[in-house]
Amino acid sequence: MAVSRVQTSSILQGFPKSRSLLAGNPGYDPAATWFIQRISPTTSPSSITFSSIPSGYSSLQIRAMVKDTYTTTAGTYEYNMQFNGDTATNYSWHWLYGNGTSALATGAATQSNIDVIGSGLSSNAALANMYGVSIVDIIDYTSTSKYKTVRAFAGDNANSTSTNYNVDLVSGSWRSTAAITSITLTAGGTAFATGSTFALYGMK
Amino acid sequence: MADVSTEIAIATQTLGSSAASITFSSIPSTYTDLRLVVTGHQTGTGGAVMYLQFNSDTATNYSATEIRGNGSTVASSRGTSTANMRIGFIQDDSVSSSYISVSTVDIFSYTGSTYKTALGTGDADANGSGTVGNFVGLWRSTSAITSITILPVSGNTWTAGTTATLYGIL
Repeated sequence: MAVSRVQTSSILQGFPKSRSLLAGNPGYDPAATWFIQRISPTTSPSSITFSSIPSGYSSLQIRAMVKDTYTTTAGTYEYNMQFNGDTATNYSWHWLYGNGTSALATGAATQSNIDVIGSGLSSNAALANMYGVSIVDIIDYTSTSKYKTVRAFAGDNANSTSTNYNVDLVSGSWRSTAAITSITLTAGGTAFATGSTFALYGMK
Repeated sequence: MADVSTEIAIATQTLGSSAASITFSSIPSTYTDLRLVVTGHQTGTGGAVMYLQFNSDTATNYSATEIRGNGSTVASSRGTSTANMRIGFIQDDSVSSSYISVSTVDIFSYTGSTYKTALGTGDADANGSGTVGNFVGLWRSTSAITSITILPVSGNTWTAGTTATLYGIL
C-alpha cells in the first residue's frame, strides 16, 4: 500500500508504523535507464550504426566493450562518432586522460567526427581477452534548438606499463540543431573485432 | 524494440558496525553489466582508497590506472599485477568521520568469457582537502563474477553506516 499522507489519528488507531515515509511506496529508480538496442558484430565491421533511434528519452547512453583488429602496432585506439550520417566538419572534442604516469589534455576543432574515446579501445596486439570499455552520454539528443553535447568515460588496461593503460574523460560537440536519429561508430584502427559489443540506452 | 527498465537494484548493505570488508555473494548472472555504488567512510589514516576483489581471488591478477586531482594538482598513476583492484576513493580518519565519500564502479560483461574491465569514480571532498578521480581496472580472469568484496586500505575498516548497493544493468 502506498503512503501518501500520515495523520496522527491513524497512528493512534494502531495502523502499522514506520519511521520512514518511503514505507509502502514504490522503490526509487536511480537511473531510469531503458534498453533500446544492442549490436554485437559476428564479423569485423569497420563501423556500426544505431538507426531509427526513438525520440522518447531525455538523453542517450552507449555502453561499449570494444577491441580493434588493428595489429601492426600495439597500442590503444579510439573510435569515432558521427550523427545522422553527417560527415562534414561539424564536430569538435576534448580529452582529459591519464596514462599511469602523467595527466594529459588535448582537443580538436572543426573535425569530421567526435573522437569519442581517447584510448578506450584495445588493439588485438594487446593482452588477449582484454577489451576497452566506455560509457558515452549524448545529452538532449532530440533538441531542435541546441547543438548536441557528448561526454564519455572510457579506459583500457592490459596489466602493462608499455601499452593499453589509459583512463579517459571526453567532451564532444556536434554543431547541429537536428534531432539525432542515427549514430555511427567507426573503428579508429581497422575494424571492430568479434566480441565487441555496443548497447544503446535511453535515459528518462 | 523493447522498452524495459534496465538498472535494477540487486542488494544493499548498510553496516551496523565497522567491518573490514563488504561482500556481495551469489550475484545473479541475469544482467549484462554491474554497477556498484559505495557511500561511506573508513577508519584509520592509512589512505582514502577503495579496492575490489572478485570471487575471493587474492592473487596478483589485478591492475588499474587512475587520473586524480586534489584541489591543486592533477596526476596519474597505475599498478600492475596487484592483489586487488584500486578503483575508488573513500575518505579516512585523516578528516572528520562526518565526511562521507562516494565511489561508483561499472563492471562490464561480468559473466563473459573475456577478462573483466571496470570503470570507477571516486569523490572524496573534505572542505579544503580531498580527492576526485577516475579509474580503469582489469581482473585477468575469464570466470564469471559471482562475488565482489569491497576493501578499504589495509589496516583500515569501513565505518558503521557505510552503504554499498549493487545494481544489475540488463
